[in-house]
Amino acid sequence: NPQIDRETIDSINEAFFITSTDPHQFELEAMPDNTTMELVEARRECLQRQQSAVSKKLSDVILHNQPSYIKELKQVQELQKSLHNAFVICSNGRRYESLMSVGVRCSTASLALLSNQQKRQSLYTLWEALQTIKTLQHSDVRLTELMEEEDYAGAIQLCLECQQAAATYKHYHCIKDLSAKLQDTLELIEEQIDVALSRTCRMFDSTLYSKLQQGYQLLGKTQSAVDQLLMHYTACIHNTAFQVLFGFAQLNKSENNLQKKQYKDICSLIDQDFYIPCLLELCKGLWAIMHCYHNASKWHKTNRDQLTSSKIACLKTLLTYDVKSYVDGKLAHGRHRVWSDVQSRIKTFILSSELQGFKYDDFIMILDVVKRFIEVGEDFIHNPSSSEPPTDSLNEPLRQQTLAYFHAHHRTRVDELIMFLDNEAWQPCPVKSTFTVFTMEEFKFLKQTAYQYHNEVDQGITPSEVGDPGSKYFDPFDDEGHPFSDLQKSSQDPDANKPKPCYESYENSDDDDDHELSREFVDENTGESPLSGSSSVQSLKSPAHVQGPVLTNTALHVLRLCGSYLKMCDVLKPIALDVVMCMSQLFDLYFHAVYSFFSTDEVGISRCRLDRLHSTVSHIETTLFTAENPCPPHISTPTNSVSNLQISPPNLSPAVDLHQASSYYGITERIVATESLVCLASQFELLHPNLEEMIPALKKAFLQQFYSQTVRAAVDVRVPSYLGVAVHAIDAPTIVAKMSMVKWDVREIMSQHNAYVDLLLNQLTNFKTTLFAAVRTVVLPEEVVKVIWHHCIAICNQVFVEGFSNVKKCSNEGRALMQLDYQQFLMKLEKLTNIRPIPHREYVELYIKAYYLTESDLHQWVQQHAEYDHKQLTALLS
Amino acid sequence: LKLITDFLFKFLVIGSAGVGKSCILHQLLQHKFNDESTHTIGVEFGTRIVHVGGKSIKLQIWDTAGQERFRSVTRSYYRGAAGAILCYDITRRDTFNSLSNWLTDAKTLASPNIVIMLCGNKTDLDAEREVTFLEASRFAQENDLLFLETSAVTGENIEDSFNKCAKSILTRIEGGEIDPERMGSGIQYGDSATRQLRSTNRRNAPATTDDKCKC
Repeated sequence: NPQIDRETIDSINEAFFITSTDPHQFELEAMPDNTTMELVEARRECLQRQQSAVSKKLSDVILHNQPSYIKELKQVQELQKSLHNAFVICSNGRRYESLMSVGVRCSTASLALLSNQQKRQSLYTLWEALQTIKTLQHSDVRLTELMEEEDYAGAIQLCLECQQAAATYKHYHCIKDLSAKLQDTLELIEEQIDVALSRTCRMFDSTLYSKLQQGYQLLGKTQSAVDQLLMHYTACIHNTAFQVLFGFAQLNKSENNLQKKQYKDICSLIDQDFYIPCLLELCKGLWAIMHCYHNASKWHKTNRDQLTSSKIACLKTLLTYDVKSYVDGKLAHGRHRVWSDVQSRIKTFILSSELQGFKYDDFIMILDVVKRFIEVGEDFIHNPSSSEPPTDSLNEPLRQQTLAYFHAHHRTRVDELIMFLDNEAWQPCPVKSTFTVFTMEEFKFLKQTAYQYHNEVDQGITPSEVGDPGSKYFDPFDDEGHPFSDLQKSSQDPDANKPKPCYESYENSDDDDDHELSREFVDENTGESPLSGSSSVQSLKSPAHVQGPVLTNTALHVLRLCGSYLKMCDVLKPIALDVVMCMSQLFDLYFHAVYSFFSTDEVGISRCRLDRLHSTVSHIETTLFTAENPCPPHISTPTNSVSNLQISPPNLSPAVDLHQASSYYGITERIVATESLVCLASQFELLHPNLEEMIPALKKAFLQQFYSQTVRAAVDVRVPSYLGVAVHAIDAPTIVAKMSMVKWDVREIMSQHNAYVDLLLNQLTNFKTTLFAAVRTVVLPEEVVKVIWHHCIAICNQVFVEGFSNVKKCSNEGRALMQLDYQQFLMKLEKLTNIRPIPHREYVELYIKAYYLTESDLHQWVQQHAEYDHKQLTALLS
Repeated sequence: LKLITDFLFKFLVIGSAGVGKSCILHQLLQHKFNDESTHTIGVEFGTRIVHVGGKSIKLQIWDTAGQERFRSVTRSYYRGAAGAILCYDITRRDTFNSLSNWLTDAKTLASPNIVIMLCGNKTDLDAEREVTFLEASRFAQENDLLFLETSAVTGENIEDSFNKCAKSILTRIEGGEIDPERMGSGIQYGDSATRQLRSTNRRNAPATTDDKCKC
């Protein structure tokens, strides 16, 4: 039963299958200690059964393999037989061969042949090696050639290949030196490539730069190349700045040992004549470096993929990504570094010299250049994606220098203005009727900027939205030129850029002139033409050749100065407050001059409406003429120097005589002066929006104060100014004397007014004609006539009250006569002056009526009416 | 940068419209030719310090408008001028012909001792010349004027004309012909140094004046 047999075989202890086991020993040791007969018997039986099973299996296997055994045995026998045959053949052959001695020689020859062949082969290898070594040695020459051709990548490639080749032949003695030399060459190449890299700082050439970058990539030094590049830029900025200044400093022959001096010291040695060319050259040089940098980073932007993917295997993707971002980060950061380096150079240059000696135009030029350079810098580091504020260290020194310059400039301008005032003859300067400040040459830029601003707003384009960095001041200049060319041109030839003067200039053109001349000619010949109407109309129209606003030469000068101030402010906004304050001083000065020259206080008439004027004048006096006056806290911000001018007030030109009756007490000068002030004020009003725009919000209070207190008070100057004319209108003592001769204690109501009223009116009529006749070369403005009449009316009223107060005896009918007289006067006066109703009539009327009051009422009335003087009131009470 | 000056002279630049008065001044002050110059409105102004005869003199120069309609404005500046640069255009005879009018104006309105330098401007346009050097110099001689031909374009004789005029005034002061102390002489003493010197001189002065009075 095979099943049972297999189980039996399976139950056999494993130990029995190991050949080294002694079965007897094993079985004996397996016996337990207290062995019984039965147990041994059982074990024996079991073993017997196992043995028979094994034997059976064994015989089965033998039986099974019998045929193949027989077959194999047969083969072995055949092999034995063939071996025997071979042996026989061999021994036969041996026996045969030994008979032939020639055979020996034959075999030596072949062996020699073989060994020669072997030798040839090895020599050939050697020849090849030597050939390679020779090429290696020649490659040295090729390397220098490649380097001269600036094919750095090729050179490095070749060098690396040579090194590899040298490594394979390193067992040759001569190679040892060669490989050392190759190493040297490689280092040399690295140096050269570095030098070439530093050259790109000055002259960027994208093909060369690509070669360089390929070279660095082959060397595996792309990262350090960027670091190196930034270092080169720093050095290059330093060198360029130094070279430029050195060149210009050499022009200053008095200095020796320039080489040993520091940059800063050299800066201060630049001659003033060369300052602007030097600044321009410096800016240009530094800009060129920035331009190279810009191009380099542009190259990196466009070539980054090609650069990395071309050579480096996919395995290194992660690594190359790092390199890429490293380079990008470095370059982006480098922009700021380059800009701050550049800034520090220019800053040193600007701060190192005194700019106050420069002429105004030159200074504006300097401002323009630096301003443009700041714009260039902003363009350079402008990053559309980040709002990081750009490092800006140029504006502040520029502001400092400008302020210093401006205050010195202002100081001399003020002195000049005082001289103008000293010499001013108060004659009108003919200008077109359409004249405003904006038609003046000096103010042209204001319109332009306003227009530009408008345009930008309209198109919704703000500078910050304009694309990439460098799009404005770098990309357009790739081929040639530089962003300072327009400025430079104007420095060499200051007028080349100015537009041709247009015919829209504010002065009258020559045609006008001829026209005027002919008119003047006509006027002189016909004299009082019969066609002309009333004298007043004629006198208003006769000097018609002056149609424009009344301006004096000095007022025009003030406006010109304001224009030049604003121009400076336009270039550099942060000084706006100082500029506006200085402008206000110019105005104040003119205001004060007009006031102090022409206002007279001969008669104490109603002062109340002049409070504003008086506070303004005293304010001007304290700020302008008082030395080191601590100005009000809201003005004394950063600019204390503005208020400490310590100037002496101007004097009226001796050519002007205000006391000549023949020129009617300088009426023309008065009109010209006062009206030019009013006109100046109105021009300042026109400028108000522009000033408002410039001034920072915090400082607006100053501007408001200036406008409300000073500019608008200009009109008030008319009042005291024309008073000096009006006081001469009537002969007050005569009238008063005539009034006292009138019999006031009449008993009946009179229907006819007194003669003194006619006399008074006569005098006024005469005054009017002579006044208008006296006014020459200028139109007597309606407002002025009004002011003069107001004065006359006030004076007449005084005369009336004075006259009435002198009356000792008076009846009620007399009072009626007084009223009649005054009514008559008013009626005629209205006709004469065209003023209706006559103002301040209550002053006289109330005084007359006060006589009718009862005693107690009168006492109260007297207390209420302080406008009458003591004598007049006493007269009432008596 | 403060310069100490010995004297201050008031100067005028006068002459018909378009003869180049403003350009002469511009060339004097800026050393450039301003080819965009327009008609002067009223009066413009400039200062310059010249060194003549060992003295430094500040010139206060009033550049007047030549056009007729500004005459009332410009005339008022004549008063008290020590020197005048009277200009005409060598290419325009009418400007030369009107010189005598200008001369009368200057002599009557400014100080009678005024030193006048006649300048025939625009020598760079010699091809278009209408006024010869000879007749102009004769005119100058007759009227006791200094005379130079100038060009504001090339700068020829510009500085010289001012220097010579200043020098002539200085000589007259030193010769006693002009008294700087007189009102309206157009001359003032300069800063500090001279003033101190002068005040010490004046303290010694009364003796001499007394002497003169006795005579």
